[in-house]
Amino acid sequence: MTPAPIPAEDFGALAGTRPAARGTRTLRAAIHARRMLLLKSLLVRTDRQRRLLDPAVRRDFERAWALLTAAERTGPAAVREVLDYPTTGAWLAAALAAPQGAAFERHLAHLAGVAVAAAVRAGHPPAGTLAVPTGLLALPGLGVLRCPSGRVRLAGGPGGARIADDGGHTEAVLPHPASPTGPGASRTADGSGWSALRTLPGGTVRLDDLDPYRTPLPGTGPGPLRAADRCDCPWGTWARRWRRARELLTAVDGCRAAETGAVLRAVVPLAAPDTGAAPMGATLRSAPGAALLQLPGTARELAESLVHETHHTKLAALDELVPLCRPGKGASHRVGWRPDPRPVPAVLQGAYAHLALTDLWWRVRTGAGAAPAWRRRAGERFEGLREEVGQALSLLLESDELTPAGREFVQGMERHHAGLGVTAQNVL
Amino acid sequence: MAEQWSGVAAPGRAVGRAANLSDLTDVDLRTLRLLDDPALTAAVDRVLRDATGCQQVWHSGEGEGEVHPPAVDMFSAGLAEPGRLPDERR
Repeated sequence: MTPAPIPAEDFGALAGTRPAARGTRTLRAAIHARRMLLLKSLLVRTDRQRRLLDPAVRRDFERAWALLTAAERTGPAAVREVLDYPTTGAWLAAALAAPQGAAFERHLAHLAGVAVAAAVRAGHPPAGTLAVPTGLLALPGLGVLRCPSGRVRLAGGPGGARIADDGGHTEAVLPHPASPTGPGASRTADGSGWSALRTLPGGTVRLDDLDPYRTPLPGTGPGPLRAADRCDCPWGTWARRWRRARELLTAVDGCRAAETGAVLRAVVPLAAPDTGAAPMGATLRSAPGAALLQLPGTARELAESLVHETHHTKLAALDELVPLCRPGKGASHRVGWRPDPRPVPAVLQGAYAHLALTDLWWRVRTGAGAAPAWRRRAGERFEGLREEVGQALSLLLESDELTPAGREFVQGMERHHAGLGVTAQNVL
Repeated sequence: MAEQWSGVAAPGRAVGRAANLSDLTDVDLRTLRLLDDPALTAAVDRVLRDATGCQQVWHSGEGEGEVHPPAVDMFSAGLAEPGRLPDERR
């Protein structure tokens, strides 16, 4: 095995928030390496505690693992896509944090969904049956099948993978990815039981309103992170607003638009905010690549939120590869964009996301691609946000909770920040 | 896996963890299960010791001030006030 370094040029470009294809590839590799570490951790925990596990749970886990590894031999890239999908990371994090016993065993059973999704995407014919104790087989990035019997029956065929509730209640045929319809398309036996995820226009980003791991499990997260159910998720509005948001970003900063499409794998719709409250967004450290969003009121708001959440993902991935903060005394600091004090890692996350937004507003303000209203708004708010980010960067550089790499990263952020708004001709 | 900083970055130099970092990027699943590398074992032990550590959430907008269970760290990074523009298309 070899080290996994980041070329200094990429590290510097990432600090400046500017999109770069090589930096994006580096971060995606970092996400995969982290995902493999979490998967290895789950395997080790399962092995160490094998005598405490129900033998049936252990047997089904091994069957699912066998299917996953067989699928990898058929289509390694496709399996990697499933492993790196955001909700797979959220599942691994939840499983590793679960107490020993029934809770841990229920999480282990989700490996069946991961393995079936991998087999479908790789074009590997699955066979046999697997346990689905929750009654819902979730295939990361593809969809969900209701399995009221608690088991799913698998079979391969010329039309694709056939997955069916073992009690005969539901069934779907998921075509081989090489078929004209591609993965995620499906035929159902009775029109019910299978729900496929939908892909937002113009790319591969899923609107994930199905996966049970798309938000923290009930009781482990705040109320506003309640996921929107499919019936409360207006697909047409999301698709229209997404398309328009990408158009707005492309007109102002094509590289930024491309980066958003390359870094994000899913948008997770959250339940609507209370009346009068501003829509919120979130990124889970365990699920980089997913932007959790309440439906913004306009395409412009969505564009800004996408840039914001993309940078939480970028920094989360980078921090797994190169730790930027070290354990400190837990000091809290005030920042301009929040009324309450924040710990240093949160200041860094906020400063990074807001530096990207400052960069975007600089281009909106000075470029010709933005609509007059957006240009006016960016012009009004650019200086204030730039000032707030500058204060946060000064605070970070005075902190003793940054690693040497973190200090170098913040210095890079500061260099980019200093260049924003210097002259109208300053093209960064 | 070692987490030491490898030094000041300069053009052409690599930035990352120390050289004994096991790179799992290109490891297949069968090999992953069999791997018994001391650095990887140490990294796994760290993950298992701090399993709740990777459940942090960065969020923006409303929702701050709620009670969060100790197992989950909620870091509000905030997002600039959204504010609707009168002539925006939705």
